[in-house]
Amino acid sequence: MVQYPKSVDRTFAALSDPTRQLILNRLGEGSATISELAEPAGMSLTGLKKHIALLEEARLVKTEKIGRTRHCQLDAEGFDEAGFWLDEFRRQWADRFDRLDDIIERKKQEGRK
Amino acid sequence: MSEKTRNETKVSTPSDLEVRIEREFEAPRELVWECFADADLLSEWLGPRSLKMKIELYDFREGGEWKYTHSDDEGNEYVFFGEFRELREPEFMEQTFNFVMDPPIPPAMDQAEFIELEGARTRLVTTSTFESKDLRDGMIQSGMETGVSEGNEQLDELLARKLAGAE
Repeated sequence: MVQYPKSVDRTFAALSDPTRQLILNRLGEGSATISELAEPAGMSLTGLKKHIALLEEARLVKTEKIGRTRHCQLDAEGFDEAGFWLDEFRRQWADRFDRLDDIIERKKQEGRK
Repeated sequence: MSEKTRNETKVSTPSDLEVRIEREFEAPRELVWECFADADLLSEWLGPRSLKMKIELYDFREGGEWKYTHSDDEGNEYVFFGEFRELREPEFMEQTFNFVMDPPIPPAMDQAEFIELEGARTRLVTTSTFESKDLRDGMIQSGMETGVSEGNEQLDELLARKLAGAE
């Protein structure tokens, strides 16, 4: 079996919050400064910085200070954890097999008639 | 149906080139086999929920070829094709698996074992073997590109864009 690295837990924790998902969605369109991110999220700069710190820790976001402004962008590493992808893959197949269960159930009923 | 307890789907990577999926079914293997062998039944469960699945060719015999497409509302199409190599009803099937890409990528080999369990139950074990670890990882990650995960569509979009950008 695959051993999920500890960092994957951090990844999921970082992804589980709607504000952080919003931030990631925004960064999916391109890099942005902290204040550019704070505005649509309706957040204070302090609150947003906390989210960014968490996303950075999970390696989902990278930041860089240019002059007096901090620029944020997506970090590929956090998304590339094998466990993260494998779990998505598993969910996809679980969903398919659940539908296969339903067909089997139907066929069993038909067989009894 | 949602209240029903489902059997667990297990995914593992026995080697760098393989991905294995294991799942048990509350039915004899003849019935599980039929759900793979019959194109109409297959199309009911194999397609990702968010995509339309169309089976264009399904010549279910050794040496026979298959082809199907997944398409979304925007007209994006994902084409898969392969050939049945070995069919031993109701216990084993082997087929090549190709995903149409530009440039083309080498096929994977898919094996499915239908193992008889007590109480008219079946354990299905599928193993896909790829030519390289990168191809295997690419296949595992491609699920995201086709938007299969439910319940978090925004994130799916983001990841799909990330994948597109990484190419």
